[in-house]
Amino acid sequence: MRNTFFTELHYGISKSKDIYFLTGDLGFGLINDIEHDFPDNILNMGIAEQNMMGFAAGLALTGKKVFAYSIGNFSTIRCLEQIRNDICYHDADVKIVCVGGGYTYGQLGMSHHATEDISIMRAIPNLEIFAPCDDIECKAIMDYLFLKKGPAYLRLERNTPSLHSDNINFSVGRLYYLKKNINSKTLIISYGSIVSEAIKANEICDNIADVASCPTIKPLNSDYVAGFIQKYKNIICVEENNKCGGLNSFIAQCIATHNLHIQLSVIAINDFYSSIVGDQNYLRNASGISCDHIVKELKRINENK
Amino acid sequence: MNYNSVELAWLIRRYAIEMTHISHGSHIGSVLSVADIIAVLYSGEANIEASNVDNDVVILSKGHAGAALYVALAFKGFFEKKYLLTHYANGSFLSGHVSHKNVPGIDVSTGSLGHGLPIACGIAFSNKRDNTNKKIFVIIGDGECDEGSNWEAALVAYKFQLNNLIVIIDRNKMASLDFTENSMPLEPLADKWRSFNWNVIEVDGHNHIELKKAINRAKQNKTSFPTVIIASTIKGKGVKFMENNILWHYRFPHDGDEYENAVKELDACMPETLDGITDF
Repeated sequence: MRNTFFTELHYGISKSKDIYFLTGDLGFGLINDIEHDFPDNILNMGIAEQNMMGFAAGLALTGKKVFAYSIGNFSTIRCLEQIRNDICYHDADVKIVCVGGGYTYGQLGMSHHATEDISIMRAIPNLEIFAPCDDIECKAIMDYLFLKKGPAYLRLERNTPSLHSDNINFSVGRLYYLKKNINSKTLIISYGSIVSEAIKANEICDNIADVASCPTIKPLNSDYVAGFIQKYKNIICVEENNKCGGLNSFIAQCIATHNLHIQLSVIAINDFYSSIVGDQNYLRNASGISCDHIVKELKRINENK
Repeated sequence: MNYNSVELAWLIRRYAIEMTHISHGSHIGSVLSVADIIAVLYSGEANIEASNVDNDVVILSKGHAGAALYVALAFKGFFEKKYLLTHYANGSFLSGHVSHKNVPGIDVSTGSLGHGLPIACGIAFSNKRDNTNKKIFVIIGDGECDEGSNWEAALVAYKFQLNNLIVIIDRNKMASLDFTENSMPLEPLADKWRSFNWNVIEVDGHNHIELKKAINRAKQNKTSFPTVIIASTIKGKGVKFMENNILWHYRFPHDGDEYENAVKELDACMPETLDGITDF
C-alpha cells in the first residue's frame, strides 16, 4: 500500500508541478524515484512536524497541492493544532499522510502505535478521512485526492494484499461489499488492512456474513449508512483503533439515531496502550481484534439465533 | 485615502481604545505596543492596496493584537470603518484574534501562538519558487518566541534561503502573566536568531524612521538569509498609565477615569490632518 501511494504520487507529480511532497525526514528507500525525477517537488522538512504542517498550509494557500507525510502519530497527533487551525480552518489543499495506521509498526512500541488517530481526526471539522484496505482502494482514493481540493487525512499501512478482485468505482462515503450473500443477517464492516482478518474469519465460518469495506471514515452520510445496514440483525464493526470515537462510534450513533433494530459487536482496541510489542498480527491477537476474535463473535451470533 | 504612518498609528491607538472600551475586549496593551509596526507597514512599507490582487503578505502571528490590524485595514479601504466597533460583538466577523473568514485583507487566521511563522515560510517558499517580488511579513510577539514551532520554522527558513521573509518581533518584554525575562528568559534574543543564521536588525519599535529604514534594508536583502527585525517596544505605549503594566494585557479601559484619561491623552496628540475623522 505504501508503494502504491508513492507510485501514484509520482504519477500525480508528473502531471502537475504544483504538487509538493513534504516529509518529516522519513521515506528511506521509498522516495528515490520522486527524488530522481522531480527533485524540486520533494521537500525534506526535517523532524519538525508542527512546522511541516504549518508550512504545508502556507504552501497550499498559494495554490499548491501538498502531501505531508510521516509515520505513526507524527503526522497527526504531533501537530494536531496546526492541522485544525492552519489546514482545516483555512480549507487548505493539504493531504495529511500517515504510514503506520494501527499496529503496523507494532515492534517499535506504543509511541509508534497509531491507535487513536481515527478517533481524534474524526473530531476535526472540515477534514476528509480515508483508510484504504488494499492497493485498489488506495489507488482509487489517490485519484480522488488529486482532483479534490481541501484537507484530507490518508491512513496507510505497509504492504497489503489485494482484497478487491477488481477496480472499484470509488465514491466518497460509499461502502463496498467484499462478500455479499443473498440473505445474510450479519454484516462485518471494517477499514484498513484488518479487513483481511474479517474476510478470513468469515471464510472460517462458511461465509455466513456479508463483509463490507468502509474506506471513507469521514464524511459518512448517516442516512446512506442506515439504508445500507438496516436489513441486518447483527453488525460486527472491526477496527484497528480505539473503541472510543472511531467507526464503531459512528455506527452506534447511526443505529441509535435511526432507531434501527441492530446489535453492534464492537471489535476495537480496548482503550489502552500496549506495552508489549510484536508484529501487527501478534498485537491484533493481544488486543482482541484478530481473526480469532471475529470468528468467536460470528459463532456467538450464530448460536444465539 | 492614504494615511501616513503617524496618522495611521494614531488611528490605531484611538480606535483600539474605543473598541476595547465598547467590547470589553482584552489585549489593549499588545495592540498599543504593535501599533507603530502595523502603521508603518500599512502606510507604504508593505506593498498593500485594497484594489490589488498581488499584495505583499502580512501575517499577524500575535493574533490577539487583531484590533490594530483591523483598524489599519479599514482605513486602507478594505472594509467599512463602521464594522470596527463590532469587534468582539455577538455575530461579528471581527473576532478577538485575527480571522480571515469574511474579513478582506486578512489571509491567515491566527490566535494560537507559534503558528504564523511556519505558515509564512510555506508562503515565502512558494513565492520564491514562482519568482514573485512579494515580501512576506510576519509579526510575532516576544512571549510568542517561547513556542518551539517558531524555532522549527527558523531552521527551515534558513534551509530554504527565504530571503523574501521578514519577521518583526514586537519586543515589549512582557507576556501575559509576567515580564518575559521572569516567565521565560529570552535574552540574548538577537544572538539566538543570529545563531539560526538570520539577519538581525534591532530598532526602536516606536520610531517610524528606524522601522522604515530596517524594513527597507530587509526588503533589499540579497543575502541567502531571512531577516528578523527586533523592535523594542513598550506594552501599552501611547497611554501613560497603561505603559509597562501587565494589567493591561487583559483589562479593558472601564467607564470613567480609565477611558476618559486614555481618550484625553490620545486626543491631545492627534495629528491635525485627522481632525473630525473619528465618528465617536
